[in-house]
Amino acid sequence: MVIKITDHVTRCHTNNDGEKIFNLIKPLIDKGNKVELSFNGIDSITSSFVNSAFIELLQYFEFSHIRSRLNFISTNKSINQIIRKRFKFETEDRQKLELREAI
Amino acid sequence: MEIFLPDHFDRNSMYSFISDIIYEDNRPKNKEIILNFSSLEFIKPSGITILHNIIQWLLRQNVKVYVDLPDLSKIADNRNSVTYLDDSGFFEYYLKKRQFENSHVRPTTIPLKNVTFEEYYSWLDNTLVAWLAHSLQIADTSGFSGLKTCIGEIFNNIKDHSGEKIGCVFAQHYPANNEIEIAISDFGVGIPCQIRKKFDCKNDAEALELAIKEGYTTKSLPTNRGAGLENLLGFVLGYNGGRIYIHSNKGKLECHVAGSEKVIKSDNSEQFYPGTLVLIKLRTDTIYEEPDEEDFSW
Repeated sequence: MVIKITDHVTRCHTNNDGEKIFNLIKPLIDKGNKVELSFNGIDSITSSFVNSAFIELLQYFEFSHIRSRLNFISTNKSINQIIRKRFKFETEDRQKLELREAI
Repeated sequence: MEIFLPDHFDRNSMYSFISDIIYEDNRPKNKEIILNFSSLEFIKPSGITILHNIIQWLLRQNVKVYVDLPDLSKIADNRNSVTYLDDSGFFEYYLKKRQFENSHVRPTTIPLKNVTFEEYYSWLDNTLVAWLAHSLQIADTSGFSGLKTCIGEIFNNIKDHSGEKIGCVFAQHYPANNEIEIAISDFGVGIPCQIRKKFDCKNDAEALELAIKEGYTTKSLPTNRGAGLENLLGFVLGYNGGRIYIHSNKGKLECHVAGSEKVIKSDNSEQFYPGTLVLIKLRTDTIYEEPDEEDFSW
């Protein structure tokens, strides 16, 4: 299923923008659907948007499940980098940070 | 009490000015303050936002602020700092009228403006990016994605951490240096104030160093994860090769690249800055990314 982001938000900059997208895609992934999110018409995103729209999914699904069910299309280099970097940190580096804090 | 502005007003000279106005415990020194502009010879874009921010802070503390200008009829030199301030829209904002008949927004600047969180995105598209595209003679604005992300990160930071939802913005293009300066300031509680509530830091400089590291978050919102300022550094330093200066409470931070290494310098000032100033200096030759589509892969 393809969801065009600009049908639902006019920008991808705030937590609120992200929450709207999260509320669209989470029920679809719950039902086992594959979701393709189209960024057509969007040229920039922020970390707040990515956190609220996508990183929040890690509270409900394994990363491997998210990767198998969620894809992004009509993106640019900057958007791809921010999404990949955020997921990498939250799935690999945050644990190291928390372990270091615990010690 | 009458306060003379520094002869050169920028982020470095602001501390002596602030110490004339604000006690160390962050209280205004008088209920009435007259700002005398006669000594002002030069003011940087950051100086304009700082001055605007301090006045906003004083007004918030119910201080009456007066402006004492030099004799305008004797100012012929259009390079004078007062005409520069007038061209920025500063006096129009506070005195409700421009001071010189031929005052106008210079093509190398955008007007000084208080931008609310709600309106920042339209200001970003319609004012900042439109001005920059015109200055750099670029027709397709979709390649300013990195810059737009940076400004978004700064405004999200103001909204989530300062206790305010407004930032004062001023920007200037220096064509000869291939550089733009964008200064954004808020008069909120300051980044160190928020960071030190959650993390054990020995001073405000250390708190600022922590604030720019990915993963350190005050969790002002459940979904916040401490990535905004790190993302800002990623574009400015990593992609653009520019510089970032942050002044907040008593902390000062300067970030740039040397070769392939990020250089982060922090310091503590004697004087308290009421809020946060973020100054970014961007190279105009690397500010624009070709807006080509790229397939996403995990």
